[in-house]
Amino acid sequence: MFIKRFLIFFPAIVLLILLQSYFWVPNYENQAKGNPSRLTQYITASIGDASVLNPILNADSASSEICDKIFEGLIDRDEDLKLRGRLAKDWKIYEEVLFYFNDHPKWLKKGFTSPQTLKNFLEKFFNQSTSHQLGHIEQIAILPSYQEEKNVVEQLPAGQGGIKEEKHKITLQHPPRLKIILTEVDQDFFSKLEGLLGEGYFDQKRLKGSLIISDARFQEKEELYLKQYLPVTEHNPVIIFHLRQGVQFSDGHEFDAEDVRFTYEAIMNPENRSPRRPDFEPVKKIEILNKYKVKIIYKRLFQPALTAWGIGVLPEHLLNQEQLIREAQNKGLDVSKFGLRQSDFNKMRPVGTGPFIFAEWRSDQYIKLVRNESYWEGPPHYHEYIYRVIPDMLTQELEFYAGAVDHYGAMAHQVDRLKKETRFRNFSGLSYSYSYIGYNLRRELFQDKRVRKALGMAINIPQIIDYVLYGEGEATSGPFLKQTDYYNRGIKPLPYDPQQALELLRQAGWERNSDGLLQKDGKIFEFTLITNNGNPYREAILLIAQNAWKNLGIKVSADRVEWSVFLQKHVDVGNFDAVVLGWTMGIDPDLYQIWHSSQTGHFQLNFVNYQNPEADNLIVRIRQEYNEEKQIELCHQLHEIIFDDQPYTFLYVAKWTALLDKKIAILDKDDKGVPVIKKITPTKTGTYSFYFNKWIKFLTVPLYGPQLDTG
Amino acid sequence: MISFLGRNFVEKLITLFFISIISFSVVMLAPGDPSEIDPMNPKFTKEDIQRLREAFDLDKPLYMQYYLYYKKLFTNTLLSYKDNQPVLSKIYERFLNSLPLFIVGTFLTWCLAFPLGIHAALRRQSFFDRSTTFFSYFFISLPSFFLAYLSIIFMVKFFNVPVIGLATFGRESVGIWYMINDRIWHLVLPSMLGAFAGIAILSRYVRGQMLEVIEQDYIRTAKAKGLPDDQVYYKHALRNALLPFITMFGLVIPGLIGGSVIIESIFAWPGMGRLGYDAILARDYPVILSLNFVAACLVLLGTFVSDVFYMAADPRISIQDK
Amino acid sequence: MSEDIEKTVYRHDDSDLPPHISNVKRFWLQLCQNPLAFWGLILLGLFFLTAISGTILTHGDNPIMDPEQVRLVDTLKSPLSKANIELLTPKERPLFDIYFLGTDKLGRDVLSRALQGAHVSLLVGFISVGISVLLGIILGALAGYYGNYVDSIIMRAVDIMLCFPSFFLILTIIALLPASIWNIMIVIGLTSWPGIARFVRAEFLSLRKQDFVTAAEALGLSKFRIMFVHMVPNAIAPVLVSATIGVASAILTESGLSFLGFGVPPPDASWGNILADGKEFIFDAPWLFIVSGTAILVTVLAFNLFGEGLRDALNPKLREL
Repeated sequence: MFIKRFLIFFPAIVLLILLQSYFWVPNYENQAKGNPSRLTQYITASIGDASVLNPILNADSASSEICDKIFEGLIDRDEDLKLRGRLAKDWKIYEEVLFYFNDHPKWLKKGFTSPQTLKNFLEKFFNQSTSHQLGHIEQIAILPSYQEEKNVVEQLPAGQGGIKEEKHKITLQHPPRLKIILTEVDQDFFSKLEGLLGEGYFDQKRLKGSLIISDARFQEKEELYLKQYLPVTEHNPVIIFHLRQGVQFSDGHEFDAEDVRFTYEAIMNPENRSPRRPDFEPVKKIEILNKYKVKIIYKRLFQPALTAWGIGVLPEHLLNQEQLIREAQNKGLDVSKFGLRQSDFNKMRPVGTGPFIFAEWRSDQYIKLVRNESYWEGPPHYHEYIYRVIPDMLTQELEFYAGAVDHYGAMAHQVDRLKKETRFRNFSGLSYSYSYIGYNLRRELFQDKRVRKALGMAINIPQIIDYVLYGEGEATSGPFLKQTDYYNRGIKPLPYDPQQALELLRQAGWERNSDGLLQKDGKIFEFTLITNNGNPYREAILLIAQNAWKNLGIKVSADRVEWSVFLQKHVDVGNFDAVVLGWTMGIDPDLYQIWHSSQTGHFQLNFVNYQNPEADNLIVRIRQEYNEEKQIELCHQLHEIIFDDQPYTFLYVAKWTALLDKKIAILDKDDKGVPVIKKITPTKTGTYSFYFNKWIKFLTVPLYGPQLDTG
Repeated sequence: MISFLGRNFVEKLITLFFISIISFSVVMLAPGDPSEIDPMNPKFTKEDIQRLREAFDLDKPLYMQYYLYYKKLFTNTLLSYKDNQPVLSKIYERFLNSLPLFIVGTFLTWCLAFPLGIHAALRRQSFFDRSTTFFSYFFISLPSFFLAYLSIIFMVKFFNVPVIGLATFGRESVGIWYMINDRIWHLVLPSMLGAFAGIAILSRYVRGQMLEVIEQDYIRTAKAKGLPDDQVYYKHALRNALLPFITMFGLVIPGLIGGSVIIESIFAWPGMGRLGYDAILARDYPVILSLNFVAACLVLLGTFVSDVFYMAADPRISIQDK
Repeated sequence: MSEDIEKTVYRHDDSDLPPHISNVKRFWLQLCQNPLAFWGLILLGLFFLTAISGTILTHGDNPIMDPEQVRLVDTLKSPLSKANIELLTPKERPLFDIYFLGTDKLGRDVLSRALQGAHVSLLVGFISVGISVLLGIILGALAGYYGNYVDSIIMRAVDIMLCFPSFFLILTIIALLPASIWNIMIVIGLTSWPGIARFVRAEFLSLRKQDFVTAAEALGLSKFRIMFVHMVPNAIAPVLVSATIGVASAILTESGLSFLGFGVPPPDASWGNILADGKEFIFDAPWLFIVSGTAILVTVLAFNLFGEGLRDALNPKLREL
């Protein structure tokens, strides 16, 4: 019977057609099935889409990850986090120091009658003496006196709490100055020079007569203006970058010094609202010495300013005023309102000098880059770099297992299971952050450092790491990144020792009363520990700390506060006892904002009110020290001081774990030019993608070592 | 016949009119005036409401709001909040993506439900009948998302194959045969999951219809006449049992969007259901409201087509009685 | 899709339904003879027991099992694992210091959340079906009794309602309204009455011609009284069946909504949102979605089986077979 047979066979055939498709689909083991080009693609996934593909404008991690592939900076950091040249072949740092000639009779008597005599004296001194501490001096010059008029904008309070801006004029009568060029930056130069010339030579007050404020309302600002516009001494660090020659933007145009200057100017242009602007604020001037040589002069000593040049360089020829005007006109838009931010460059045609070239952007789907065949360091092995947008973490995971994504960032609770998977290579490292409990040092309760130390010793940090982070973290003892040399490895985290903690508290005068609570002068030890809600890690720490302190006999109430309230009502205004929080940081060892005593006001970051003159001095010296070794030494000292003071209980640094397909390896050439396949190994700091440009995927897990058959 | 078609068409037009009113009036549920923001409803900020008022001309009289909304929709000038693309084109694009899923799902449902149902009816009270009955209830009761995750775990754990999305990512340059099969493979899981419940319900229904028809006198007569069983059942009984299913066809269309919201969002399938879900998450009201309207229109179209088929297949059915 | 096909099923079945309720004993026997219905009933009984004991155990200011207790030191524990007694305060500890069904990503006890979910499912199922039954009976009765234009208006409304994809319509409305369990029940109720209205109408069409109605009319009873006192009890049988199955589909709908994040708002647990919370962890904590998925499956299955058994028991034609 036809219908009967039809009813049985037809569905069977339909099912067969559907199921046979399985044999044509790639799977994890055979990702290149029918598609050899899969081996030359690197596919990565992200939760969010990029927003703007411009290194000076982007502020989200997706955009900056892609910009790092398309654009390149003058310098970057190598495996050991040391700076190395990229678009700059190398660079030189030296210093120009300036000071005003002092015409006080006291100095005239000493023989420094004119700038010229002073210059002669100094030149003679440097030529004759070799045992001085003043470093090597290249040149001494005299800058004649001159007069200058300046418009200054001041903010005045207007009615109803508003602010109005007012312009006024000041006149500056610059006395003659001496300019000394030093071969090395030396933050102590003036104190040493003062030792030579005599105590009190660099007297700021003496310049009072050189400043005329015409508007009487601003008379009180005199001291401020003096410091700002007539500084008696001035450090002007200088960087000279020697640029790499013959590097081309991906449109074939050659990269040169103009592009560097253009990038700087674009960042500083207020209309572009670049989030990178503060990094470049200390720059005084940028000079092009020749096509491949740029000189950058800074206003003051600020060592972290150097690393800012890792920012991707923009192509001047595509983004200069003329080009932007043309683009605006083509689009029929108002030229005056059209700037870099409005340009299609950021979305449709970013052009840089990096190893990859922008190819396609499908919003909320993917961004595709292709390799730069003429990359100056040789093209990457991968032909394509694809950045997929997969908002759902589970989908990312599934796609990774299926081989449709090459990389997966495992969550803490998954690490244990995924590390056992033999199909994947896993890497883990410390994040650039740490968690801590901060004590409000304005409170009487926390002023004794023995108390703070005791509180820290009562908390079982390994237990927090085990239960809350599933073991994915490391204890830390201080404010520097654990993977950098600035971190003082000689200092071990506080041990977990409740007995010792009780002993310390007893020394500080806290004894247990009949209720088992700690008491001093009739007052029991009680305070509130708060954190923001919505962060499960911090909430867990909150509970664990509360419990630990309760066991000591401290009455702790714990509270979770909504983030904006937490900041506005508590942290920003210093209204709290203790907080659980975390910092994410950059590599530079600049701790000024978080630890300097000048930063304790409302809305500033030293909200625990940490004040230690010794630490302050070190913090300032660290940011002014251009010698790496000396800087590390200073950091170690600072670390020790902060650890000793325990203004925070430093808890842990969380670890990240990334998984990669095992079939991906590094393909390199040895000295004889024989191809060698190497395992991908993380660098000292945990970065595994450092040699990304040499990565390639193989059909099966490769045999490592020299490859005889180059096929 | 023409008069029937005409009347049916006019009826459907009237229904369409009411559908359009209901679809539009859903927006009235949103808090109306900026001053009346319901503090209990954190989904709305002042800016959201302002935007809503502008997009739907909420400050104009009601009939104008209605008129302007549909005018914008049909001239394709109603823009999505999310990416400022015209809503109708967006829906159409996603409709094309949903279509294969829907077609394969429906196809599977119908092709499998009939043999199962007929077989169960012919062997009433047998083991086969009992187990299909049980499994029907089982699949009717099984939440589709639960089954979806079970099957995803199974596929990924044991086969390591891609199951998410329209096709495997990064295979634009493969041969046509690979491409087609890759597409088919990605259809298998979501369409089967969509079909399970449908098969369960439909096969129960086919069984019931078949049982009823078998009891009819003309079947007994045919059997008494000595016709072979197969011929009696598959030719005479089946034909009569099939008739009512034609009307059902129109009613499966809501599955194109309603039933697919969950499956499409689990499988990251860029179809209409996913579009609707994303729009709801992003509070993209132009898209949400238009999707409801478009889906209702599709159903209406489906019922019209099936009415026509029904009439063509069985002119005896009195249309007045409907 | 499933729901809409069901509706049609009833449209063609309604002529088979009996005009009056058979006596209770026969009905009970009939029910017990049908194995599916019997097991459905047993499952249903278990479900009610669970829901009631769950309500007792998990409600109040200081419940015996607190479904909202967050224990961050005990996150994602597998079923039957012991609680971390050292770190938990006595108040935080689970019953018997064991997580019988494991914990979720915040360390909440899955067993107590599932128990609370049973209560939520029950509430959503019954109230939303209550609303739809009420609406369905009133509209169906009016349509069936008055006929003519009342009938055609109401039936047109039914047609219109059937045109909308109900799940998506519910999702849309829920997304526009503030998150609350009551809104969900009302919306599910308001969108699922057309099926019931159709049965009641069909019943009324045949009852209308019966002697007792004519007699009542002759006695001059008010139409309202005739409809809702005399006729509705005679038309209740199919309503009962579809209400039972309606509860099943309401529970399914709620779990679907919760799964998409539009269901019962947290911190209240429902099976759907336990499953939704657990979906990120399907490889790491499969118990989260297996527990809730199974709970939904068993409950919905119980209602469906019982509903079908009820239909068979109430159907005289099947009885003769």
